[in-house]
Amino acid sequence: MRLILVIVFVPLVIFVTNAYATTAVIVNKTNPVSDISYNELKQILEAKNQYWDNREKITLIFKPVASNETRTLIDKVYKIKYEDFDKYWFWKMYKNEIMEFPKILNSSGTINILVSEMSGAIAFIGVNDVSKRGNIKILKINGKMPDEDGYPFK
Amino acid sequence: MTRFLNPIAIVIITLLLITTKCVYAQEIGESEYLQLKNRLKAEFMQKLKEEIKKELIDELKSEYTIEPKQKQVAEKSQTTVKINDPKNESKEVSTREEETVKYTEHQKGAEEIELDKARYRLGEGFTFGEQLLTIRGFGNVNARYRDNNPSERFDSGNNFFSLGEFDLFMTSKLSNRISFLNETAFEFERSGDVEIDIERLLIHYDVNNLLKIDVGKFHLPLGYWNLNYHHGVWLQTTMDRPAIVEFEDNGGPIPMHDTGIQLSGSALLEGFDLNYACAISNGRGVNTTQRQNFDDMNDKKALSLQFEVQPHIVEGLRLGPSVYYDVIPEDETNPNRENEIREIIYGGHIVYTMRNIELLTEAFVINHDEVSGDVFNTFGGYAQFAYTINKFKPYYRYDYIDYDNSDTFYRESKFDFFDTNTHTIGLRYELSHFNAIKFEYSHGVFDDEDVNIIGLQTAFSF
Repeated sequence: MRLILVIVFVPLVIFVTNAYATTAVIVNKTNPVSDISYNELKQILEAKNQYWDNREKITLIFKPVASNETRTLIDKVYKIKYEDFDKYWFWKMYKNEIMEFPKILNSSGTINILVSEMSGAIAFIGVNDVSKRGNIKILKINGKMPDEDGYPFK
Repeated sequence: MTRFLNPIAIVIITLLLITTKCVYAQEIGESEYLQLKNRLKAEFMQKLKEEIKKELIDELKSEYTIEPKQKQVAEKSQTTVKINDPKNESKEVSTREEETVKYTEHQKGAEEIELDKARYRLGEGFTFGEQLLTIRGFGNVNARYRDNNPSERFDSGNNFFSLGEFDLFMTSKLSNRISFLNETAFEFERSGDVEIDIERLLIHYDVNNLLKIDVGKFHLPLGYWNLNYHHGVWLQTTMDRPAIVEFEDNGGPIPMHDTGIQLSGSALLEGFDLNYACAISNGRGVNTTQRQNFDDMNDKKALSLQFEVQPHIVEGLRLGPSVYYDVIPEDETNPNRENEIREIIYGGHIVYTMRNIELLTEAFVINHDEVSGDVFNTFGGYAQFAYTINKFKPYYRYDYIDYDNSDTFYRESKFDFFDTNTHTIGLRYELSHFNAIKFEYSHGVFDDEDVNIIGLQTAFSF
């Protein structure tokens, strides 16, 4: 009986938490920005804006395209096909609009460490994966934290 | 006595031996046990450390570099965390230290690995070292059939296979704000020769969002197509560029490349984004194909200026004007071109690309004003529509150019500059992520001659 419960509920819990995990936007704690508008974030994501207000170069960090977090961004911001995501960035490089590709990392732990270490980094990971002890903070979007109604990346 | 002593001695010696052996055995056992325990523990810890290190290197390999300044900032911020969180101070410090040790180990490991070998990542191409040099390439092969050849200069037959450009694209990030870009095309000539053409070669200085500086040879900021589609045919929807923005060495009427300095940037304003690009360059040579990469024959610089607006209210819409000014030098070897020509090109584009829709429209007016007083105007443009349905992308394009037939600059060129009126329909199919097959039919009127062309192209990126 216990085995059946484990077999049924564990995948269900994993599925639900993964499928509906809210994407948090994290930056280094030294970053003066704490609240950002959706339009400003979109400009950063599209690499139109490549600098923070303190003139620090922005480093974009994503999870792989197969992840729910990145797919949420592609659906809501880029509005392109998932398989065209790398083409999108390559084209930007080909047009000389960016100097390097965004960083794609598998592990949320690694992303947490990287954002902790890089003052210009901005990353997009599941809200449950955000480290509480790192040198990082979650950005508000349009004044909303990920657990609040109206947050755009739910 | 001896008879009794011997067995007693034997017994005593035996007992002594047994006792000694037991004590000795017991002592050896304990120390061996401890030694073994310590050795196993050390081995286990060593193995564990190696495993963790390997795992971290695998995960983070070649992913980033951190400037010393950033490290300092990070260290400072760590101190702040310690002070702000006195309850968990010791725990926090040890955790941070562990992470820093792991990170430092990873950095060393990653450096060793990345210096040794190149990395290939799908979609990015080859990277040598840590962001040092990225190489990617494009190529295409075409097959065409046409029922008429309007050109009297080239007898190239009416059905043929042809190799397109073999295009190598290289970039290198030299620092956080400086990069290098090169695009070299290997072009297959009618004579059978292969011409190596440096299409772009520039160093890029990224000052901020408002100011980016390119120095070298670049695509002129003149219209949408020329700044967005370069020599990689795989990136563009159709088989060929529109006639009005065709490259100079393929008979295009507008200068597409030049050598000089270009300033560009974006202002992200309330309601819309404003992009600009401004270039000062050597300008054209004496004819449509001559590029002045080394010097400027008449010392008169060409000036290009382009603005583009991207309103937030209609996502995917881009529109804007562009202008180009140059003085084309006289051709001393050609009596019909003994005067300088003042050239002004006015352009404008309206582009909408969103999700499955691609709508591109551009128009140009080319004004040639000779010192003698003759003025010639050429009009041209195109409109292209494409719609993506899964891996298929049907498209249609209308090309139009109306030359002034008495314009000596075009008339004295080695190319035929036909008045063009062409309708093209085609289908692009994504055979794989980096290979597209394009099939198209076009009906054109070149001057007064009708031409029907069927084409098939495989275009790829590697």
